[in-house]
Amino acid sequence: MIDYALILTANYKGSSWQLNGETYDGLTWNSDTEKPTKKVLDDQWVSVQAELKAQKQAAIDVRASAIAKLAALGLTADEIAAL
Amino acid sequence: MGANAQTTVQKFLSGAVLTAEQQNTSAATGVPVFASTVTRDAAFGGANKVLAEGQTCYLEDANVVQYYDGAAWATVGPTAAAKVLQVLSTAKLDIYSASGAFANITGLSVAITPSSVSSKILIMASVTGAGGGAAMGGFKLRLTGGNSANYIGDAAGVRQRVAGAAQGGVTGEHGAVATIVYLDSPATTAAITYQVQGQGMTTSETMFLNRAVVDTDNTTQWRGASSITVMEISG
Repeated sequence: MIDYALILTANYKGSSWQLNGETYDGLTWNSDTEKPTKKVLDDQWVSVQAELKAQKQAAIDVRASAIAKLAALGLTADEIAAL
Repeated sequence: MGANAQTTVQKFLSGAVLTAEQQNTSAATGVPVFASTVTRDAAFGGANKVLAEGQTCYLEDANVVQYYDGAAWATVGPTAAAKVLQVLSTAKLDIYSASGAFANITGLSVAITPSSVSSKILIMASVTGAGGGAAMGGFKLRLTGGNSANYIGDAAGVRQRVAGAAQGGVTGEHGAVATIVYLDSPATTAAITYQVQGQGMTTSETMFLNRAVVDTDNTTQWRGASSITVMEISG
């Protein structure tokens, strides 16, 4: 199911809107800008999902890198976990 | 020693004479019954009447026994306990999200009509959610209705004054619960609608209600519930 709240959060920063429920029908657009159509938002869903996935992977990679650097400094796995 | 103070309890024997003073003492130290404090005060007013320490009375409207301590009337025993006169609640189980300034959270409100101007309204709101779209991740809450909009933190520079806030979300599965408990004294018998308002941590951040920012349909994700409950407490 398309997550309209996530699309709006990712691509319409600074806009004012309210979404009741999960469907486009629940969207109230409060900004002076034109309310995006359902099709416009639907078309952005794939890229928003990819962006979120990339963000999640980036966070995993940063954590793994930090653990590797700490291990290289001589910290044990228990000591790293305690941080 | 006050006018009502006694040094003995009179016992009449056959043929004894009842004096006016004895009768007055008896009348003053008994427990006269009055409809209210208004009729009580009227009864002890006027010429040739002395309201003195030790005087007792019973008030029909309040169902209490009172005594006069020389300066004021005091109630004997505990005062009547406050009572819960009505309880109303609204549960919001579906999801809601919003970006921008503070706005009414759709469906998170409850209307109550106090039965007396002296009633107090205990408001309890529990809000489950998250915040996303910015680095902070969280949401802020306010109330409206009655005097509840005044239930916000003190002014402190340019800080936003709110009734509640919670940290949780950013881009992940985290959530948080913020609660607001406030005792309002609306002093009205007109209907009042208490409404929860919400906002992300900034106006460009999204507040997610009853869900996390990431809301993928799998067993590690969650959907929550929020509610607002009001109780009318006798004044």
